[in-house]
Amino acid sequence: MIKRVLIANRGEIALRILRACRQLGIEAVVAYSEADADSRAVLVADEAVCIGPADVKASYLSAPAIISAALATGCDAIHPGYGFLSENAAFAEAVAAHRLTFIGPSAPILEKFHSKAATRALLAKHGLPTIPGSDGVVADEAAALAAAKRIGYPVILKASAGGGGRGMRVAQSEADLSRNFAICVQEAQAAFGDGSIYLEKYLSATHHVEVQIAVDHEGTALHFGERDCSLQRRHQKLVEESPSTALTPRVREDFLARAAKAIGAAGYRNVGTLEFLVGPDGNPYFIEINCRIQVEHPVTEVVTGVDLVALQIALAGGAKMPMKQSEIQARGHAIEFRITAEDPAHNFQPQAGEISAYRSPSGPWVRFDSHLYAGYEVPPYYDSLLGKLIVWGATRGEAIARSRAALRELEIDGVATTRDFFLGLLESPAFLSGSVTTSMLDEVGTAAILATVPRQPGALATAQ
Amino acid sequence: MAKYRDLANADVIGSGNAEALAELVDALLPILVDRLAVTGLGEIEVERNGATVRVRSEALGAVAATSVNRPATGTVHAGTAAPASERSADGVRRHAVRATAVGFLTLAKDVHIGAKISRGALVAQVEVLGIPTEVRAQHGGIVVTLKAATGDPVEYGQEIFTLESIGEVSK
Repeated sequence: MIKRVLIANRGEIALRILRACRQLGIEAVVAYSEADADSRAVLVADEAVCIGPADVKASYLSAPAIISAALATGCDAIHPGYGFLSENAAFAEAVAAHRLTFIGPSAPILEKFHSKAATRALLAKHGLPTIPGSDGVVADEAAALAAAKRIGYPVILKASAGGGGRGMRVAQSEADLSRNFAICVQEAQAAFGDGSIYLEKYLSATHHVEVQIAVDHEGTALHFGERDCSLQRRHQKLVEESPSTALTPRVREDFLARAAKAIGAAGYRNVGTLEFLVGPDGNPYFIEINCRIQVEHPVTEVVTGVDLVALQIALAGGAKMPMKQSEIQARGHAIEFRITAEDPAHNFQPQAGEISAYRSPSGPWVRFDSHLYAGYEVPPYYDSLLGKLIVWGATRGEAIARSRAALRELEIDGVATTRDFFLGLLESPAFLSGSVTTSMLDEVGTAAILATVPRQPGALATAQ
Repeated sequence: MAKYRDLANADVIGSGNAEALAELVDALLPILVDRLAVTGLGEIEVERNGATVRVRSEALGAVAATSVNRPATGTVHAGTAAPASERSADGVRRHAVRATAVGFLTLAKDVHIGAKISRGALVAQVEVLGIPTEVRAQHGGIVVTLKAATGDPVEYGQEIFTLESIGEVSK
């Protein structure tokens, strides 16, 4: 169905999509900005096309440049990856208008699930428990205060058009809410072009779990288990694992089945993720949907053995769901670490510069999805993700032990990275016991985690 | 290999008398055409006694123009990193005129080999989903190599043609 894909993204995900295309026997053309001319995806690709200057507005966020590049290179489909234009309904519509296949949900579906507030209401109607919140978008500060009074503090203000962990503010009290409301509206307007805000009860110190789902054109919806993404910093995920340590088997089975059923019935198509927070009662409550392939999708691939990017491309091409729910059996435990060019010792400040030396980890059940190579210049214009280390073990303990070995093997010189932070994390009692919550980093502190980074390789053997 | 037109495709620049020039051309041309074919170069220039003979292959220019569609080697991007202008030892400055967008190219009517282009002139348009994006010459000069033709798909930063200016500005 799909013969030639324009990959409209960069970094590790461009490489990931390129690999999926090659495996499927589909031609791929990598679209890149001037700043990414030496990126690994461009070097590895059979074909690449420069779409604009470094500035994302004129390249990776430019719908005309990307669609024009697809037409100029004879592609019949566009894969948007994650971030950038991946969940942009107007882009998906323009892609379709040029008779190209958008690899993701179609424009009407993206439009339908664009509003977080409306999606919450829709999925609640289809049987998903949601966290107490405002009845859709709040019109003004007075309405927000009234809703918060009903819900009970603390509450979290969320941009209805937000995503990627941005556009959120927590209010502990009425005064707090009054102070933050206007700022939040302004920020949402500036960041997403839409100042709509809704409220939810804020659950601190909880588990963030999400369900990977896929739906074909006929509405056959399957789930691929859950991922626990509780370890976050400022709502940005750092570590993801599967299965979650926070769910009992019965709760798990129930919420996974419900999620797949609800999302199919609600009219969603292609791959996506439903995010939940685990309430004080141990049950997951739906918070939002991500209408794209996610950064952390390999965690699910490793435990289920399903190539989600290949599945996504097949579904976008009109294929029927090639498997049954009973055939998807999660096995063992997988953990992903997001290795970023950020300096944990200095407030995770983003880094740019040349990778002077690079050694990737490998070995049994170790996967490193990365676009790095020695001599690569990390450009200052884009996000700081350098690679994702995904490690599998028969048990969580085995996965952790293997992760330590893999992280030690990983060498990236030239920019500060989060590698050592993760080595410290793997010594932290909270992480080892599986009780990491969304507020763990605030409670423990980055400094405390960095202080436990083993100084010498030998020290690791006696830890834990 | 490339095909060549005869003298029509050779520029003769110099201040010597016409006879001397004709002699020079007669002596050099067969050699230069052969060399052009063997080396695969787009252009060869020889200077003798104050005169310059330059032979250029148009066919090769057309080959280079297909870079967006070629079954690539991963080096399509190389052009974007190239400097905008370079200067050869004889004081000739070469300027690459590059696509300002990704899309389909339309060259201005008056852009052909040997054409004189003034700085700031509208020399081409790149059509991006039906909307033309202007390409203007950043320098004045003579068109010496065409690297893309009307209707060709071009990527952002791709060289469309090369301009040469002789002794225009010395710095």
